Amino acid sequence: MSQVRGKSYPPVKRKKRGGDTKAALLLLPSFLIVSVFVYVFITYTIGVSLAENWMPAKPSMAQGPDPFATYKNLFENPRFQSDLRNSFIFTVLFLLLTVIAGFFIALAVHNMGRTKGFFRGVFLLPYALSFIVTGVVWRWLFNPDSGVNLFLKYSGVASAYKSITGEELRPEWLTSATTVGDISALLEKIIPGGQYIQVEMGIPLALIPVVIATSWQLLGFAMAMFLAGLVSIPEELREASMMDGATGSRYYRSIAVPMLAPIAITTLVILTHVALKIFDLIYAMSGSGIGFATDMPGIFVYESMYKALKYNTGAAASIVMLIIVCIVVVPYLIHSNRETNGR
Amino acid sequence: METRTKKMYKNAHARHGKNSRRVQFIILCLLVPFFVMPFYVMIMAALKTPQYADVTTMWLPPSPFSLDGLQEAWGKLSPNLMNSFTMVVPAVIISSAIGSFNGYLLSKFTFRFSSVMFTMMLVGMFIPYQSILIPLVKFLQLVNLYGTTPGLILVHVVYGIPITTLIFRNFYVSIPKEMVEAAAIDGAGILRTFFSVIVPVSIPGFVVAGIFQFTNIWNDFLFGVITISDPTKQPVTIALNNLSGTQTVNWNVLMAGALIAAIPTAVAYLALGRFFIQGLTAGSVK
Amino acid sequence: MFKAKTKVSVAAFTAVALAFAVGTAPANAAATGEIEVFSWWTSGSEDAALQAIISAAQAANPDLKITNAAVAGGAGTNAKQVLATRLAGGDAPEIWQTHPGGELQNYVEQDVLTDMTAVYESEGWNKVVPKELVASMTFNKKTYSVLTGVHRANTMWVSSAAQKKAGVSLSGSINWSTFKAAALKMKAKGIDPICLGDKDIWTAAQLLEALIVAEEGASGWNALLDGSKSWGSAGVKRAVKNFNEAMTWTNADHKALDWTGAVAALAKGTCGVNVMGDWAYGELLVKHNKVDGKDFTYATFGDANTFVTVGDSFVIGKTAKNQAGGVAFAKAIMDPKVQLAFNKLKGSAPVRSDVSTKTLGKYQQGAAKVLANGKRVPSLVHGQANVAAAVGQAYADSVTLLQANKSVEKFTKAMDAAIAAN
Repeated sequence: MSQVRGKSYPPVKRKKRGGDTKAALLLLPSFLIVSVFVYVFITYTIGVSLAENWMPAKPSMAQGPDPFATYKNLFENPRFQSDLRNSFIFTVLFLLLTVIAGFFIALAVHNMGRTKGFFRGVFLLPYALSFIVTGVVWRWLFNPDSGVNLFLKYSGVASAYKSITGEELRPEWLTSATTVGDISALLEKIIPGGQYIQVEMGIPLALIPVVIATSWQLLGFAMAMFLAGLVSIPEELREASMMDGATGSRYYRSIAVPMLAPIAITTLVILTHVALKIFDLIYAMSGSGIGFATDMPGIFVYESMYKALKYNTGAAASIVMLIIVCIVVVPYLIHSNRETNGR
Repeated sequence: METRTKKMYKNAHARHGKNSRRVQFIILCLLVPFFVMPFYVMIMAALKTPQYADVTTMWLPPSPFSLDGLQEAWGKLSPNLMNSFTMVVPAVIISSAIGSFNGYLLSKFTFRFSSVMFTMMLVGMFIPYQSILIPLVKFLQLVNLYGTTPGLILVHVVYGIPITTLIFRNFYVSIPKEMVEAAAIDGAGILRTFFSVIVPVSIPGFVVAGIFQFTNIWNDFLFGVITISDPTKQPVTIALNNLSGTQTVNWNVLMAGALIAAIPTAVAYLALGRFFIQGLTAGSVK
Repeated sequence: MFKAKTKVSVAAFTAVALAFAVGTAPANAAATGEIEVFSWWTSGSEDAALQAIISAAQAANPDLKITNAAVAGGAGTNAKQVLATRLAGGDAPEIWQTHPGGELQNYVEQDVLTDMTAVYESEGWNKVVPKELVASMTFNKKTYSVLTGVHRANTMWVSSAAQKKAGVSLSGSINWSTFKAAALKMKAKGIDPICLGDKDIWTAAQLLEALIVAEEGASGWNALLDGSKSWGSAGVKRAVKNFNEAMTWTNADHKALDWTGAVAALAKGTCGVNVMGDWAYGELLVKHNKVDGKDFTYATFGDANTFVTVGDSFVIGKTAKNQAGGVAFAKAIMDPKVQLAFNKLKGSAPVRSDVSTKTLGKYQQGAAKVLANGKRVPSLVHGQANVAAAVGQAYADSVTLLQANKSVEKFTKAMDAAIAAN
């Protein structure tokens, strides 16, 4: 038996069928217009990707002898291979850093008293900046000679490092050409057509400063999401759990975290969306990087279409990215929808 | 009146809480410089002359001190600030409103294709927008909204609906279904229930949706520059982008401009942040 | 059948009418109405130079409303993105900026440009613009654009302080062994021989291009571009090897700097030379207050009389409403007075050989002379060559990979494949 504002109601078992169809109809307009803006446009883009020579003022969808050649060339292109690798690694690292740090910072800020507003403001402020400027500032900050490396020098960390290992501590950040952990050999055996892999399939170290910069910008948003969730946990629940003896971390683990799960899912989806489409920040920060260490599919699409004037290549790259997202994200979304449904 | 047992537990909890709170406070304070450091660099650069607003001198205070950057940036950005406002505010309000309504429908009702519709709405947005610009322009021309601010608002609203819907839907799943069904028993239809039961407890949802959409739309460059070609009607992000020339860049002007362009968003955060109040759902469930 | 015939005759009639209108318009009839000028010049010296043209066009056509619709970024790619959508939507501006060569040809293929051959003839421009440049703007015997000025991409800017400290003197035509000797001397004194800011890969690609042109010469470079010479030739291979060696002589933070950062380093004297287009001239003079000849000098890899061209051109949109306005603007661009005023601010060389360069900076006078009398070759990096834009992109991508894998073999193979495929 549940009580709402002092009144008590027996749980309702009978489902009102009429109401549910009405709900579906009310959702339909949004669904339709989004579908036009998304799926109709995507269909057009698929057409462009298969066309032989599509041009803006001569939009001919006529296909050449082998319309899928564009896609084949795409996968054999070392630049696109680098993009796929970079996108995956960037997304994973970025999500880990931002969501986890955002969560713990939200917990801490939520516990603060008068300083709550101050901390919230400081951590959220980077989100207000335009991505382009963030890229430029962090490029300056990661300059190996004049940026944050100076802190290492002047704080004594660099000299301590030297005395222990005998080597200079001067992280190369964006200028690094190193890739750590090359699993190309493994991938070549697993993936069909893997013998076309031409790039080192590992973690390009130059991606790390990029992850840090993007995290800096979006951590505030993740924090805000979790704060919204924490704020919505009814006070009675917290008091009730206190009465039951759950204090501190026990409270968080058994009450707060499960209640924040839907918010965490939302945050993950939104941040994945940001990570997969990242463009301005990286373009301004490091460009494509040494040997395409920081190149991203968004940059590749942009340059293919509007610089190389190869519209079919750019369109094909977009479709490939979409298909990859469908394969990876859709099952996760369906699963999480089922989990949070019917509460 | 609190019972003695409750008071005892509360005290124990409070003591335990105090220590961890102190640790958390210290950690937060240590993080602040990391977040503020880039702003320091930006402000320093904005106040320098073009020659010294450079990566090699980024840490040094301005010498000579110059307000030229701010003046030039303000001159070039201010005409477009109003354009951004007239575009962003309606877009944020409309997309958040629609998102909250959709979120309510998806979380409190089970109809046959709800999961499919929702997933389809979300997934399609993952395509890089650079590739759908041309069909987008053709569509806007079809409905006679190409080159107009309402057209840009429409674009932002449509592309914002999936994410605002997601935010609200996953926010509403924690609102007990009994609340909705109780209102239904009282005879309220879908819309009545929405306004009387759901909206009052949606404040935190509107806050994050507002933060996300305001930032997203205010900082958008691509849709703004494609939809509107008249430079006097374009949003401020295009003017900001143009502060850095294609071949010549005066960093002091660009940094000054970036700070100016970020102020409205920062103000929006302050305004919305006030609503992060505990206890909005207090007393709603027993 | 009937429809096709009507189509042809309507097209023919329009063409004749246009030619008639454009060719016989009285020379001093001012244009009216509105025009939109679309470029990627938005700030600093480029914007000031563009304003020089706009105000001159305005003065000559007082009743003409000129809207400046510029979009910066991506070295012009942002503007091209906007332009593509506008062309797709049939909303072409009257005047837009492009590069002669392959990029221009792409617009010609889409049939969106107004033919300017008649204007060239009536104004006598064919006599004063170098013939290779006119050729790069002419397709099927029709000329489609006008140039505002021509930058030089293969200038080697030298820091006087750095070379004094190292005890070297670089001027005129520099061959690789001379440069190597000088570089080692600079390195011994703790100076980075080469200033490079290649966060945007075009700066490194530009350096390699200068080295290839130096080894292959003007005719060799042209042969490489039209596909009659393989990129696996000895000259190219030597140039690529030299490039790999040059990469060991650059400042350590080159990947984190853009081109202005490299010029700033040169101005400070922490590095020796910077191969950069002569838009660096304005940067050195205005931003860094350096004096031509005293603080910096210039030289060239290979033959000093070979000018790698980077021209900026403007075209008239065929479907734009105000054709007369567009033509008036084009005429303003080619006006000798405007050519001088524009290039004084922009730092490039006037494209007309009959413009007196006496009032321009010392470097610019020299550059204009080489442009008029020397060997002119188009820059591939800056999209000037008569090849598809995809070849330029392939070149830039190949240089990116070259920096990482240092493989001469892979580079030459990739370039041959790109030329063949396009």
